[in-house]
Amino acid sequence: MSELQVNKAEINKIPIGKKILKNDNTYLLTGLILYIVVISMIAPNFATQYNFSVVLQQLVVPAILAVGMCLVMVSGGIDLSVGNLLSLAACFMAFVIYNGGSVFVAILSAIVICVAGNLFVGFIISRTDLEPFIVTLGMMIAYKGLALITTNGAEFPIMGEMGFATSIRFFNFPLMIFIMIAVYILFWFIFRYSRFGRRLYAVGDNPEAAFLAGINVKNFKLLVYGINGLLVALASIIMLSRNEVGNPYLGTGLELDAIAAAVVGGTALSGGKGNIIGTFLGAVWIGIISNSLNVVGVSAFVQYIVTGGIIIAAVLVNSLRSKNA
Amino acid sequence: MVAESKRLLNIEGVSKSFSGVTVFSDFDFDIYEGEVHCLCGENGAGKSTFIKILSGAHLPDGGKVVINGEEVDDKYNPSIAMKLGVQTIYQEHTLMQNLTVMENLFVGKEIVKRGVVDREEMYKQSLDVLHEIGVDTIDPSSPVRELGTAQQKFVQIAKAFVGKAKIMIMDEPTASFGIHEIEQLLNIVGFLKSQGIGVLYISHHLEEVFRIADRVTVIRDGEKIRTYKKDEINQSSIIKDMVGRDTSMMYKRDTVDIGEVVMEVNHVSGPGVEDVSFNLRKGEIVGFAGLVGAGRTELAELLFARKKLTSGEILINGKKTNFKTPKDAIKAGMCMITEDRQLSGLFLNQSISLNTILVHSSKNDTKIMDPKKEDSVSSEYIDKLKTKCTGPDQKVRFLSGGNQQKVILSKWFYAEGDIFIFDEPTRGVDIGAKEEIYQLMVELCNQGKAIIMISSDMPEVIAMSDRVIIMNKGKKSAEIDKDKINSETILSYALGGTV
Ligand SMILES: Nc1ncnc2c1ncn2[C@@H]1O[C@H](COP(=O)(O)OP(=O)(O)OP(=O)(O)O)[C@@H](O)[C@H]1O
Ligand SMILES: [Mg+2]
Repeated sequence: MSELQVNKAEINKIPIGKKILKNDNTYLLTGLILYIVVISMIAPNFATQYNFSVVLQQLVVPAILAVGMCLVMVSGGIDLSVGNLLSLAACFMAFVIYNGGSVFVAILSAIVICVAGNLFVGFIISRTDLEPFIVTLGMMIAYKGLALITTNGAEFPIMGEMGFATSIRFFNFPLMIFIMIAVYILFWFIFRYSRFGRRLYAVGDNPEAAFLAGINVKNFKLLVYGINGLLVALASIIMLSRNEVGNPYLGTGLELDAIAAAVVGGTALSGGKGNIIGTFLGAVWIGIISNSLNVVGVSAFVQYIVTGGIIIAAVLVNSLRSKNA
Repeated sequence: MVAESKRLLNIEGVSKSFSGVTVFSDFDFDIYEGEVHCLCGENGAGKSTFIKILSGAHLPDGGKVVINGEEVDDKYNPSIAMKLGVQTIYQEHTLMQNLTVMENLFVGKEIVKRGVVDREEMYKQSLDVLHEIGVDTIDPSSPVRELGTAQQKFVQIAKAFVGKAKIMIMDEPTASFGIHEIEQLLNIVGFLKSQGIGVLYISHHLEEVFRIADRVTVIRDGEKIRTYKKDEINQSSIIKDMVGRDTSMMYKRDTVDIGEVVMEVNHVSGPGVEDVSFNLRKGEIVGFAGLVGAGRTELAELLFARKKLTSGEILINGKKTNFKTPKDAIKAGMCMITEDRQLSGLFLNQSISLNTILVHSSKNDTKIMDPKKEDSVSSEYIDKLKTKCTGPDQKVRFLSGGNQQKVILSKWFYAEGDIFIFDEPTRGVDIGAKEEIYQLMVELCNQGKAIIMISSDMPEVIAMSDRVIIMNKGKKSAEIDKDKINSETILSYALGGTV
């Protein structure tokens, strides 16, 4: 028997240590811990309970969006419109509440807007051969217009009406942190134990082979975008609850944070590759970078350059590692 | 070897491993001018990896590569290889599909007159080259994408010839060829030989190997077993060296009782198929023979609802079907192993395990998956088909061609269908593994399943079929029963004889 031929008994014997070493997330986590240690030594006010709770709270919205982005990207798509869709939904909720509507109706309308918007995107992408990049770029611009129309360029303050995501607390942590953790646990289960999770990779890797394996690829993509819409709705609710002011710029640029988190976490733009734990670590990385640079006192302008550099470095490490695998 | 001819290539002690797994070690090989040296070995033996080293796609971990008397260094890469006259005909198409034949032939070497590309001269020279290698039916001005698989392969060879090849490497060139095309290719190889070109030829079709080889080297598990000189070439000994046991080139299958009709196909037409009728019974293997492009794959696509019927009907167990997509066909118990494995059969960047379980979960509507079970099922099929891999987690991309084919088969065997369409089931599979696949097919018949087997491999059609249907130009041209199956009859109908 050759060295390559590994029979069943041996397969199960591959040491767990080796499996951990082979896992991309191990590197992501180790790097993160090292980074935190180094920054703590440079800046004493970084590793404080207060600062960590700030990082955590800022993390929630991009981290939730990153889950949806990871789904969409693994299935072979991308969604540039999530940031502005979030703004639109938040503005609409604020508009409803400002005009005396109930919080319940506001939340319901956010869900309807986000899911309908993303189903529309999914419909176009799955039924035509237009590139997801182009379609969602168009939607991104259109949502901005819609948000501006909704607010007529103004802001809608809704102080005290909808602060539950931060005001309700368990063990001194705001509710939204638990929502984020719940979303991650839920999707970790979906990736690991559901057929939907398997199909995500299949469709992203080779849609034609997926079609021949009995998957309705068109409807599947529609479903993926629909789920993404739900997550955007959730993120927009939390965002508004934190800010308590609806304005058309709430979500500006968030799509880039979400994409960066997914990509740093090992998700490939070409589809068929990515995972939930990696995405979470990626989101934490993105959150920690900007916070740490602030704490260290790097100017906001330079921060952009450093963040960009770190994203490219992370992806480079990933690609070098997978070449050797 | 021939004492006076020049040694073009000499490999000594070359080794290669991927992330710690040795593919081959201490390998020696050489090619002389005007010689056809065949490399034979099981799936995953290391043949393709070896030629990737020669062509500069991979660097060896150690050893010596000498081309034309010059040892290459670690800067060796595909463009240096081509400059040194090493031209590789890979299994996949490497031509630019949107350019014309002549543009492909002269890419990077355009003939320029007074600063502009001289198309007339290029056309003339292309015509000459194609004529010289014996494929003058190809028009130099037609776009490559309009050519068939075999013709594209011939253009690839012509391109290598234009590129002043001294050594030509061919990795399973005839894998998707019909009989005539194989003949044509072997003639081309003869021509190259007469021009003093050294040819390294890899094929799982051993008949070809025995016809054209000047020498045969057998590789097993990355080690050279033996190099046979022309007068030492001996089929059974080579096969034994390859698979490590006695195997015959002609497979003898067990007979299975044939039951009632499970599938009736009545006057089916669609793209590339015209008015085809036949039926299929439990426990039966119906072979579909014909030339490449006779409409067999197109018929399979209609049956599996990959494409839409324009007329006719399909009955399964006496009930008329109305499949809209392959999903419906799978639910009704159909399985289709497609011929183009990378394009439509595999998820290359995913694990063996995901590839194995996917159809099963579609068929049975399992929505909750059990990773442990997926692992054990995949391992079971890895054992059963002797798939060479590091485990069910390995990405399919890193498997050898024949082992990828085994993963596709696992996917459909595990799907537990009742009607199987195998389109070229043993393409790229070694002779030992072929037998195992045949045994599994017979086992399916024993369980009362029915098989449609499309194959361009004549010995396979003859050995496996209970009945043979022959197609020509999209139509069924004959149906012959077991006792009348022979290659002459099949060929004459394939060429257009009528019932
Ligand atoms: N990039 C790679 N990474 C890891 N393993 C690889 C890689 N390329 C090839 N291998 C392994 O090397 C072995 C030899 O593969 P190779 O493709 O050379 O086989 P082959 O002799 O061409 O087989 P076949 O007849 O099936 O085409 C296989 O077991 C394969 O899994
Ligand atoms: Mg190979």
